[in-house]
Amino acid sequence: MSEHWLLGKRVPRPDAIPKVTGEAVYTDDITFPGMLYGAVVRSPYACASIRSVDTSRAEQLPGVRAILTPTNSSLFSTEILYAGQKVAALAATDPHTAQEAASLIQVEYQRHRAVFDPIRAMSRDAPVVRPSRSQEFNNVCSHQRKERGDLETGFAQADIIVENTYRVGIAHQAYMEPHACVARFDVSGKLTVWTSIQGQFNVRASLASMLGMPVHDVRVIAPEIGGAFGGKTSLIMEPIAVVLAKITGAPVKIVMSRQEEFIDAHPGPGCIIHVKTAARQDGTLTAEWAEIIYDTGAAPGAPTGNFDRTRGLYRIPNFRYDIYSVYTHKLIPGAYRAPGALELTFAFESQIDHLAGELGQDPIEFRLKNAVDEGDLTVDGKVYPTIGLRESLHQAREQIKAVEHKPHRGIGVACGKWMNAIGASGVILTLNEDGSVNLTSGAVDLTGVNTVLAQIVAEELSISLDQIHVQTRDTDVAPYAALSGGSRTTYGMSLATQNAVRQLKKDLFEFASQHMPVSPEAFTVADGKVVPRDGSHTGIPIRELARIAMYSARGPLTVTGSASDPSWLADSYIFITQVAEVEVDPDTGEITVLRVSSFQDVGFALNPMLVEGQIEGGIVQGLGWGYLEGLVFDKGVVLNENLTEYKIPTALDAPELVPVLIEIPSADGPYGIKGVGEPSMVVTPAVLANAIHDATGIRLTETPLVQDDLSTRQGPLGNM
Amino acid sequence: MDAKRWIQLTVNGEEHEVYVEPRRRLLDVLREDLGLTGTKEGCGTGDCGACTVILDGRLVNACLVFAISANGKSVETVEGLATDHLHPIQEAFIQHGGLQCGICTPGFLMSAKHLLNSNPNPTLDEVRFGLAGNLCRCTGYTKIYEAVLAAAKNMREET
Amino acid sequence: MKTFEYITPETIDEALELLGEGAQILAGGTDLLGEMKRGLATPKRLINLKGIQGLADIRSIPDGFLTIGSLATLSHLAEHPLVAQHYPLLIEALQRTASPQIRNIATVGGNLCQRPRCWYYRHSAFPCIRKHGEGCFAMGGQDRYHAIFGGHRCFIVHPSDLAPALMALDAEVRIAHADDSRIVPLTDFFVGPRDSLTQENILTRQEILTAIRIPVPPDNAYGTYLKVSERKATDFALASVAVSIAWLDTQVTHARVVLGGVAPVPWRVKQVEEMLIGDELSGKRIERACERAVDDATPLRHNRYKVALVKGLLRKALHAAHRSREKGEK
Repeated sequence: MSEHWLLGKRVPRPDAIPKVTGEAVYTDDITFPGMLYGAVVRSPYACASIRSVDTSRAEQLPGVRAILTPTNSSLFSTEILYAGQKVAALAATDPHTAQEAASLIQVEYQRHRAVFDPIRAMSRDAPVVRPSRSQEFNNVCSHQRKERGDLETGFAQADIIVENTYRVGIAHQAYMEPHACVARFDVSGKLTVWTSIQGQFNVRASLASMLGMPVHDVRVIAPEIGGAFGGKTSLIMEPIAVVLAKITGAPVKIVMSRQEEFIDAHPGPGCIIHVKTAARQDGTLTAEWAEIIYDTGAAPGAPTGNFDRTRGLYRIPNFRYDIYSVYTHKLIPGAYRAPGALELTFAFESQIDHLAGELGQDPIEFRLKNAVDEGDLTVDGKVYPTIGLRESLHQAREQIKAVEHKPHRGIGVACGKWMNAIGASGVILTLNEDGSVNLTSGAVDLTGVNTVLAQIVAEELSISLDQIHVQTRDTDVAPYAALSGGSRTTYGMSLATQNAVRQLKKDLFEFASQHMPVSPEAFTVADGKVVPRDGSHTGIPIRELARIAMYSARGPLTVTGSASDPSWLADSYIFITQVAEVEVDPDTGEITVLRVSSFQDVGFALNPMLVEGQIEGGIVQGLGWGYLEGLVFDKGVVLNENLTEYKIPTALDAPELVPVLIEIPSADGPYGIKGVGEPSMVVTPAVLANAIHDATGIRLTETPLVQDDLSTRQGPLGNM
Repeated sequence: MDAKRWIQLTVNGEEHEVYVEPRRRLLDVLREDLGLTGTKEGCGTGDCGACTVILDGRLVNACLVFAISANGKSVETVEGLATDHLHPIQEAFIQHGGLQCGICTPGFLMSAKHLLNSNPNPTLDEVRFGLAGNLCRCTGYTKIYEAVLAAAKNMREET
Repeated sequence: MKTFEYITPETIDEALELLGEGAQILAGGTDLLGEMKRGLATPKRLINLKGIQGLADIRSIPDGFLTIGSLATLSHLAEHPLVAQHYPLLIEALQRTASPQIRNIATVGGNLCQRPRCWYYRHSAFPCIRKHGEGCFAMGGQDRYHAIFGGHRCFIVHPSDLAPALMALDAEVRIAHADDSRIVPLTDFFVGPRDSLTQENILTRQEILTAIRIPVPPDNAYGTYLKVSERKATDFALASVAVSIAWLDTQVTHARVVLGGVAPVPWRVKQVEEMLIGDELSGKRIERACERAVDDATPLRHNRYKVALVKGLLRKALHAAHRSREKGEK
C-alpha cells in the first residue's frame, strides 16, 4: 500500500531501547523495603487427600512471617487432583529462607487411584476426576459435535479411505520469564499488584471479587512481560501473594521457579485424534470423520471451542467431528498460541498428505483441488469472503519448483487457518502543548503493538514518529482493554486508535476553522500542519494549534477511542501454507530441518519487521511443540521439569526461515490488517511430519516427532 | 553458623564490597545487592542463558556461580555496554528486530559481545555456535543472527 | 538451598584434610549447584578447589604425556594449543558439550565425576536404589534415555562427552589421598552398577581427582568424536562414539572404540578393537564391527533406537577414519 508513508514500513520498536540497556522493568525487578518472598508447597502425588499439615518446623525458622494451609485458607484444598497442586504457602524475609521453610512443612497424604491417559479416563471403570458431562463415558468435561451431510453416503462415494490416530503431547509455552507477581496494600487498604500477565483488567476483576473489594480499590500494573504466548492469561500466584500481603502487612513477591512452571502452569493441551478421511480417485474429498479428545487435566482448561476457527480449509460435503475434553489427574492446560489449533492441524494435514500420497497426487495439487474459496462455507456454515488459501498454495508451489533436489532430502507442505479476535480495546489520545502526542493504552504490549499504534497516529496526523509517545498504563489510569492475545491486540487496538485519531483530527479541524477562513470539512494534514485541501491558506502547525487550544476556552485536545465486537472474533480469515525442507543423515538417520517457508495472509503488514518476527517466532515454537517438546509423566509426575530435559529449540535447531507476507485485506480490519500473533505456529508440526515422510517414507503420527522417529524408524525397523 | 563474609566485586568498572551468605549466587548479588536488574533469571540451572555475564573476560551463567567464588573478580553486565551512546550491538538489535519481549536480550548481548571480541568476522554458523547457550522463545533466532552479523560489520568498519 | 560453610584451601593436602562427613568438593559447580537446589546434595561444607595453585594447569611433561589439571575448565582445554595439535578428538568432544557459558566454568574433573542425569535419580519423588532407596523406576517406566549396555538393577548412562574421548586416548587419572597419590587408567576409574549402586567412580570420600594424563597418540592416529542428540546443541548424547585408529600402511595397528550415552560407564568395546586390528578398514569389516559393537546390547522397552544409533555412528566414524588414511591426513 504505497499511499502510506509510515504504515507498512519496517520501524524499530521504541521499547527496544530500555530492553537493550537493561533498564526495562519486569515484575521480578521490582522490590520494596521490607518486602517478603513467597514460596509454595506442592503435592508430590497425583490423587490424594491431605490428612494433616505440620508447619511447626517451618514456623521456627527465623524470617518466616506467615504460613497458609488448607486449615486457615480457602486458597488450598485438602483434595489433590494432580501432582504439583499447591497445598500450602508461606512468606519469609528472603527467597532462600522461603524455600527452606517450604521444605520443612510436612504434609501427610492418603493416596487414591489415579488416571492419566484420557482414553483410559473415559472408560466406565476409570477413577473419577470430576463428574462427567456424558452418560456414556467417565470424566468428560465437554463434548461438541459438528456435522454436515451424511457420513455413510460420503464414505460410500469414496474410492479410498485413510484412517489414522494421531497423538499430540502436552507442550509448555516456555516463555523465558517465569510467572512473577508482587502484592502490596497501602495504608488506606488499597491493593496494588504488579504481575506478569496478558490482561490487567481480568486480574483486577478477579482479585476484587475474591477480596470483596470494589474494583477501583484494586490497581493492577503489568510491567514489561517476558513472553506469554497464551500462558499468562489467568491468575496463578496473585491470590496467594495478595493474602500473604494482607496478613503480614508487608509487600509480598512470588516468582515461580522454572520447575514450578513445568508442573503447575497452563501448558498447551495434549490431544488424541482418530480420523478417517475419504476421497474419490480423482482426488475430490467426499467425507471426513474424527473423534478429537483433548486432555484437560484436573479441571476445565483445554480450549475446545476453536474448531471452526482453525478448520474448514477444504470442501468436504459430509463430515462429523466429535470434540471432547476429558479430565485426567494431571495439571490443567490452557491456551498456547492459537489454542487447540496446532493439535488439529497436525492430524488433519497429515491425513491430507497421506491421502494425496495414496492417490499418487502432488500434495499441493491435491489441496488446490479441494481448497475452499470465496463463497464456500465454513465448518459452522458462514460464507467465506475473499481469502488467501489458494494464493498461499500457489506461492508455495513456485517456491518448491525452485528447490534443488538433493539426495537424503524431503520436502513437505501443510496448510492452516486461524481467525483473530477483536476484544474490547480503548485508548486515550492527548495532544501536548508542543504538538507531541501521548497515547495511553491498557493493553499489555506482547507483540510490538505500541510501535504500530505510534505509526498509525504519526501517519494519520502527518507528524514524525518520535513525536508520539505510547504507553501501556495500569488499570487506574488506562481505558479498559481485553487481554492481549488471540492475535487481537494490534487489530483491536489499531481500530480504537484509528477511531481516536480521526476524532482528534475532527476536533483539530473544528478548532482550526476558528483560526483560518476555512470550514472544518475542507481541512487535511500535511507535514505536521493543518492545511486546507485547496491550498488557499498556508496552514497552521499542529503544534501551534495545540498550544493555543490548551490556553484558550477550547482547552486541551484529548480524545478517546474504542473498539469492540459482540462476537469476540473478527471476520478475518487467515490462511497459511508452509513448506519444510529436511535432510536425513544416511548413517545415523538424524534429521536436520533445513528451511521452513511460510506463506501467510496478513491482510496488511503495518510493520513488516514486527510481522516477520511474529511469524519466525511462531514457526520455531511450532518446530518445538511438533519436533522436540513434550512433558513426560510417570504416575502423573512431570519428569522433565527443567530446560535441560524439556527441549526447546536452541540457536542451532532453528532452521533457515523464510516468511512471505501475502496481503489480502480484511473487510473490517483497520487498514485491512489481519491478526498475525498466533497462526504461524499451527502448521509447523504437520509440515515437518510431511517433509519427514517425503524423505524417509515413514508417516510419523506422534509428537515430539524426533522421538517418534527414533522409536519408529530406528527402533523396530532397526536397521539404519 | 553465620557464614556471611565480605567479598569484593568490580562490576562494569566500579568496585563494590558486599556482605554475602555462601549460598547466594552472583546473580542474586547483582540483582538484589547492587540493583543491577538487567541480568535476568530464566531457569536457575544454566540452561537458558538469560543470566549470562562476562566474568574475568569469560562468558558465564551468573546463576551457576556462588558470589563468594567471584570474590576479587571483575564482572561485565548489560548495564555496562552503553557509554555515552549505545553499543553497536545494542543498536543492531534495535534496528534489526533482534528482540521482542526482551527478557533474553541482555544475555544475548553479552554472548554476542564476547563472540565478537574473539571473532570479529564470524560466519553465520559461528554466530549460531557462539549463541548456543542462549535460548529465545519469541524471535525464532533469525533476526538475532542478522543483528549480530550487522553489528560485526559495523564494528569492523569503525576500526 | 540450605546454608553451608565455604572454605578455600591453598593446597591439595589442606583440601584432603577438610574432607569428611558432610563435606563436598566444589570445582566448577555446574553440576553440584543443580543437585543442591534439588536437595539431592546437602553438603554442610563446600571445599572450593579453585584456590589451589597449579590445579588447573595444562602442560606436557618430558615423559611424553599431556597433563591436565582436574580444575582446568573445558574451554581452557579446548583452546590449548597442545590439545589442538595432538588431540583433535578431544576438541570435537568438547565442542559438543553443553554451552559456551558452561564450558567456561565446568572443569575436566567435574565433568568426569558428574552425577547421573537419570530423571528419576534427579527427582525427589522417586527414592531409587541409587539414593539409598529401592528399585529402579526406569525399569518398566520412562526408559528412553537409559542404558542398553551394562545395566544391572540400575540403568543410568554416563552423560559425559569428554570421558569416552579421553578413554579412547588411553587417559589415566591421578588420585590424591592423604600423603600420597596413585595413577589409575581411566578404564578402571568408572564403576558400573554391578560393582556399586551408589557411586559412579572409584573415588572414596577421602580422595580427590587431581589430574588427567594422556600419552602422545601413535603416529598417524586418526580420532573423531561423533554424537547424536535430540537438539543440535547443549543436549546430552542419545549415543556417541569416540574412536582412535592408527595404521601401518593399510593395516590397522591401533584401535580404540568407546561409546557414550549408552551405558552406566563410558563403554569401551574391546571386541570391536580386536576385530579391527591387523586388517584393513574395508567396508565389510566396518559393517561387521558395527554389528559386533551391539551384539550384546540389552535394550529396554523404549531405547532400542540406541542400538541403531551406535551402529550408524560407528559406521560413520570408521568410514571417516578410512577416508582420512586415504587422504594421508593425520
